[in-house]
Amino acid sequence: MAAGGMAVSIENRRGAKPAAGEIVVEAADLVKRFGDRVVLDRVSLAVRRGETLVVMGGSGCGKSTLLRCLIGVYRPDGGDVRLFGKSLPAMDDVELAAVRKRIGVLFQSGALYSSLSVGENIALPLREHTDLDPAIIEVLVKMKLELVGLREAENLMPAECSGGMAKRLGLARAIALDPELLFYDEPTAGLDPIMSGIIDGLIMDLAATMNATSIVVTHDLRTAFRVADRMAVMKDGMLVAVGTPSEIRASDDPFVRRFVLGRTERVSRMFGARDAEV
Amino acid sequence: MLPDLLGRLGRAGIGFGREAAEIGRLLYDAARNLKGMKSETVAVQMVRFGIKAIPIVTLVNMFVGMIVAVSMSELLRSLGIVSWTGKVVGVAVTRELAPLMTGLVMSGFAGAAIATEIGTMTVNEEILALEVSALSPARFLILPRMVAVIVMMMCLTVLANFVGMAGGYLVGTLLLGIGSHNYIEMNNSAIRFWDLPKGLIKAATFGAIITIVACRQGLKVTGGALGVGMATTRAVVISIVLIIAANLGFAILFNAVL
Repeated sequence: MAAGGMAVSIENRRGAKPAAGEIVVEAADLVKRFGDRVVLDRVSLAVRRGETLVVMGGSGCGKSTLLRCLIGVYRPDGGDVRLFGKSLPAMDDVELAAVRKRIGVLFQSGALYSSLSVGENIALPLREHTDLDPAIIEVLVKMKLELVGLREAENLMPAECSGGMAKRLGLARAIALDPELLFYDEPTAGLDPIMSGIIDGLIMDLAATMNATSIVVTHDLRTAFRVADRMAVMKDGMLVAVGTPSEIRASDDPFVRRFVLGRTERVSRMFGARDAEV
Repeated sequence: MLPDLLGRLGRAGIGFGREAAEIGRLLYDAARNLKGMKSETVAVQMVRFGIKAIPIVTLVNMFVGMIVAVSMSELLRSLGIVSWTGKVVGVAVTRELAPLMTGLVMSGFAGAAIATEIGTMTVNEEILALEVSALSPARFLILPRMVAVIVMMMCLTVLANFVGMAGGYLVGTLLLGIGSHNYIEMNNSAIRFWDLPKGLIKAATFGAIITIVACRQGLKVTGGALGVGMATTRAVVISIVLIIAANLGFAILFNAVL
């Protein structure tokens, strides 16, 4: 591979996991249209327990729509989405709420509730979905904040937090109920490389410590190659490649080569080979 | 030409039906969560949309009472019954103007604020975050605001009755030379037992209209800051039109029944 030398320098630190275990997330021939525009075109994928799948692709390729279909925000126009073995479109409100208590979502902006303090943001799902004593909830809030390295932020209002802090606090809220399945929507978008590295580290740490299954939607190659057990590359609403980071790097698909290898070369040129070893 | 017109009407009908269904769903969700409503959350909203609206509601309704008194005085004087000014103001304020003007003021004061707030939360994905956390926006956002605005609309309408009549009293006694005792007697003779309950029913309905329209417009915002601005404008305009239409409906209904 012409760009292989540069590409190989970006290594996945987690190491490949064996493809075994229960399938937690499954999309089968998923179709989503907005008007006449087909945004997802027969997308099929499966994610096993404990695995981290990164969905990559350029802007407007449908990766955020895929994420929203997987968390039940958009109803598919065709095909099926199954979470924990149950069909999402077939669920009633009660079943959907029960499944959603088992998942956590980190939104691109953090999406902290602006009228609540940081501590209250994290405490809200605990207060609403558990019977825990307020004193225990207070301790849990401190623990979640400690996990993301922001214990001192408990009494801040979201408007007082920087972009990087908002993402980490959004993550603390997403893991409040110790979810089995975590979704990340562009977790490092708009962050500087240092903060991106911190978020990447958190994603890997949470996957390891909580044995959570993770789906990360990103166009950030450094994050993608760093956190992925497997990767899926999207183009025009279709999955063009799915495989381990090594398989994606070795892909013969012209789009995948251009997207992954081309961008990798650019990253390497910009930051030098040592920085590219993320 | 005709098929095109029918097509447009059909599409408009479908759009209206969908909107009505969405509003029905929001109301159902809100009603379903009434039991778990937290009073402190409602109290916060009552202060925001009620207590803080007292000065503007007072000012507007006092001016309205004064305007009615001034504008009717010439006609009443020509009929030789200028002392009836108190009666006319009493009827106009308690039966129509107090709830109507309070509703219109609140559609700008509370409706715009609610639509902007929820619209911004929609743009910032806060509403989505609530939904995917299995937390109902109807419970956390719509219900407290709706209860607060309905209750405060009723309280503010009672206040509007008093200040509207006080405005008429000031004009009647200071400008038109009607004796204080005479004015109050005429004013009181105009007010019937059912006027206050009717005003409160209207106020509660207007409060519900303001909140549900503002919440719905805020929840369907797309397109960032521009979308939030458009939603706010739509919320206020739709509320005003619906309040006036509802007022007409109440006028016809109450005249027929009570």
